[in-house]
Amino acid sequence: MRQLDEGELDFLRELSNIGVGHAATALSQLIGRQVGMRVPKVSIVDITSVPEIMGGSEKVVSGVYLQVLGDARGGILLIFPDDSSRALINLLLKGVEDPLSEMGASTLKEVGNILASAYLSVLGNMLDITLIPSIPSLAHDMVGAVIDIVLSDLGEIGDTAFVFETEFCDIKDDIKGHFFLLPDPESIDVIMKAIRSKNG
Amino acid sequence: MDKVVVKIADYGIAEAPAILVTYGLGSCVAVALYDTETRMGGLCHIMLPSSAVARASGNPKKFADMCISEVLEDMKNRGCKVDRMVAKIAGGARMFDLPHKEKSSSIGERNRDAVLIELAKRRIPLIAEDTGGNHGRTVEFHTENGDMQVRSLRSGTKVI
Repeated sequence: MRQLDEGELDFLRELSNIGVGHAATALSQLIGRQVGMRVPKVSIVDITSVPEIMGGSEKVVSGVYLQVLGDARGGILLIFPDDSSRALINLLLKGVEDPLSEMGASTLKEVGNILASAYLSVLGNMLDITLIPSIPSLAHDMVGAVIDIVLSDLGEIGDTAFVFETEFCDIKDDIKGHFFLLPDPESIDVIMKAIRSKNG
Repeated sequence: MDKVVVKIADYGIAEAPAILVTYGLGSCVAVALYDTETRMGGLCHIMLPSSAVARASGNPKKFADMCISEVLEDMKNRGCKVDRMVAKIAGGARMFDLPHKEKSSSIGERNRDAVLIELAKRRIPLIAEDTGGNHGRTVEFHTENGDMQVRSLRSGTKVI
């Protein structure tokens, strides 16, 4: 994987910031509450440490996974801690909160779809490239097991992964989540090329 | 009792009565190798089937072939013999339903298949497995008696 310089990383961080900002706005409109986010991290991480970042391999979470298709490829993984996913479903369905029920599961997938689409459409517009989310897929299980999907994809390429990560949280602090964008290494070049042609 | 935690893409070795444990396996596969005489066990947490098909190598212990070779070498150096060994495996689930991504077999199934090939090459009998499905697993391997305890969120704990 090619090394990116500090300026390029900053630019990616800013880009991701705007993308997640739009996703947070979409979520806040959906749930009728303000949703804030932390400063996004754009970093190269040792992929085997990802379960620890999420609070330990056995922590129960709901994960919504979407592939990114189009000019650049990769994956988007949204992780909601168990209590957050229940609170989110309950807020939207009034009375239902089981992430394993048919309604609960399809609600979480739809939320994932809305957030990923908001993020990708901003990114695509700013870079003049086409980015399309695949249909979402859901797993409700131990976080270690849920993130295997991205770890094994990334592990085929190397030991470190380029990850855009942001934590978001609603104003009442009941709904928290992690947003991960994991571009394929080849797609980093596509993104950087698009950035340069925009700037220059 | 001693608990040895095995991280993803790594292996651990312990002697009776210690317990080897690895958490949150999805498509990953846990492979326990047990020398019935020395009562020493090795536990691998593998992520990918083969170092041969990967685009880059890196940490060899993430691959079924390399991790199993390394743990066996290490166990042999500690007095174990491959011809006294038995194996138990767990994991290899398909966590997400991705019809457009995984047309034929999922990464979990490929991991399992790769492990079976590595065991067969060395004539290590596979005496128990709990693989497949769409749920995560945590595995504890008891070197005391060779039991493998498999814990999952929905179906509780079982011993294989």
